[in-house]
Amino acid sequence: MDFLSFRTQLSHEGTYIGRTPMSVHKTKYIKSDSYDNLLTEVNHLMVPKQTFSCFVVDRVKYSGVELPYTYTIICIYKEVQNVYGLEAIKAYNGWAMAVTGAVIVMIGLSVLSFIISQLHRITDIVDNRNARKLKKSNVQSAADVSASQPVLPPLSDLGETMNHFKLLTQEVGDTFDLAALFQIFIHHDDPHPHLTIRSLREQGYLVSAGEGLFSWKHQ
Amino acid sequence: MDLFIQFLTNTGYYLADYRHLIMLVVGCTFVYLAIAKKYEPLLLLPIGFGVIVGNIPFFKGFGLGIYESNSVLHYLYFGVTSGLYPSIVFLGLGAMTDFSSLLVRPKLMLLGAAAQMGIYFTLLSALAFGFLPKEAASIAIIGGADGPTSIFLTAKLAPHLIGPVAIAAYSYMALIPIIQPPIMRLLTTREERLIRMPEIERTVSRKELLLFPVIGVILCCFLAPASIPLLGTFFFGNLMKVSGVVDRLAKTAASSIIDTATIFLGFTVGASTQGDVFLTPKSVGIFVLGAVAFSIATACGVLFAKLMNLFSTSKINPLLGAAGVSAVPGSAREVHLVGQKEDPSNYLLMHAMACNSSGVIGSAICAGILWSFLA
Repeated sequence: MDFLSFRTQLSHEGTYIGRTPMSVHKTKYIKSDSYDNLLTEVNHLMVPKQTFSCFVVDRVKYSGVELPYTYTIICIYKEVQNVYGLEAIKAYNGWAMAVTGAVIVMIGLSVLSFIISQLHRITDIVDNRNARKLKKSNVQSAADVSASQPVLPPLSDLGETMNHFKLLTQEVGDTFDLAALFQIFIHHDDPHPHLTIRSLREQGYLVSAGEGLFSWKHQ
Repeated sequence: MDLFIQFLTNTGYYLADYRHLIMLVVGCTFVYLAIAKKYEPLLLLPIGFGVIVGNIPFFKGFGLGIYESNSVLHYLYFGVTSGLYPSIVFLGLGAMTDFSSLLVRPKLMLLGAAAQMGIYFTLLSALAFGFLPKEAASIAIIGGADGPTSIFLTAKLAPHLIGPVAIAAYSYMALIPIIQPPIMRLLTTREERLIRMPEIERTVSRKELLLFPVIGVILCCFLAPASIPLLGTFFFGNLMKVSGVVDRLAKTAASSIIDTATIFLGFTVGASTQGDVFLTPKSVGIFVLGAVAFSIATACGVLFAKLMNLFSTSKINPLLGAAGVSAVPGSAREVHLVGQKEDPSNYLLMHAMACNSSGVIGSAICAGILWSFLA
């Protein structure tokens, strides 16, 4: 058996190398140059009456390669009587663990429940504030646009709108997709590009040319 | 001739004893249930075949068995003992979960918390039966009805019990249609089962869906940091899904990644049930207590829903409490079916899914709490 296998076997047997238990009652140092002796000693501590933690603290090599290593293992363990029923629950602090655990999970999920019940209100408040800001800036920009930009044909006169943009779409060809048209509208500061395109479609000024492309209605 | 005899003595036929044969029958039964009866085939098929593979007798020392270092199975099993597979499964689970129904009915989250009380009742029962605290906690978490969570906690607290705990947890998840309905019917009247849940018209905004995983991970993991390996990945998976900016990652997490983890998790857990280490009186105790845990969890959820009805003006169908365990979506489906048996026009599925998803969070928190108590 090599050192790694030895450690692995300790782990498999239920020991936790390098960790200390919460309650320490007894400590035992086991020193040997034989793995088998060490394991026998450790197993002796590992009767069901005990909880424990073992870890290798030292690995000393005697001078000369032919001599074996010597290991020191500290086993810290808490002796507990083999108890059952209410006595066992009390001995292992079971009541406290159960009540505390139950209360924590109940409070945790109640708080989460309360927060998510208010979440839509918070997002609504934020959305409303943003909407008010957007509306304000739209009114401002609309006023700016009307003062500085050439007037676009009114949406109610779709025929004129079509003629207006027909000239602008000449560069993309007779057929075009709606995304390209949308970009042209944006570029020419149409305040409602979606609405305009939708109205043109519904009124038949924009006609499908197949394969996702559109063209202007022939007049 | 000597060589032939030596070969024969090294074969599985020669080395088999009654425990191997019993476990082979168990494995074949799981495979049969998965294929013929379609009982949770995604779980029972890999576990069942794993049981068969793990119980083929072999000559010890060849590095073949799952408990022998350097064996292939041992390396695959590392994902179980380290808690890696459960964490990955939770990532995929998060990427598959839609919290919309929970966000419009946050009150139902309390049922997910109530169903976790079964875990603590079982903790006390296991201690009373003489199990050590770490073993008792590993058995108790079966009440959460969440296979990956049970495996994760057991790997951390009582690795020697992974096989029986995992088999018990997954078996009871597969047996939901048998275990839960009688308890639901026993604890509710017909009038209660007929209660219709009010439909909520509100649509959940994208912002809410985005905020929930962030708030959830902060709140839950601050409360129980030991649940980070489970809830951290769970909420991350969900954020990937709802963000809409990493669809490729979310789809991979919800398909290839969780499937891969499920395959190896099921197969290696099955293979870990070698007859000589699995067939012990302790395993029998774990199976009995696991059934108790699952039943008490179901009962706690139902009873808590009835308790809520005493103080609430809008009544909750108490069947929903049974979906507070985190067996997704089995328990939600069962609640829906039991409700429909009484009134075919009563649709409880979406409400039950809300309880179910909160149950997943609740059981992971419980695992974190128990781990921090006993580590």
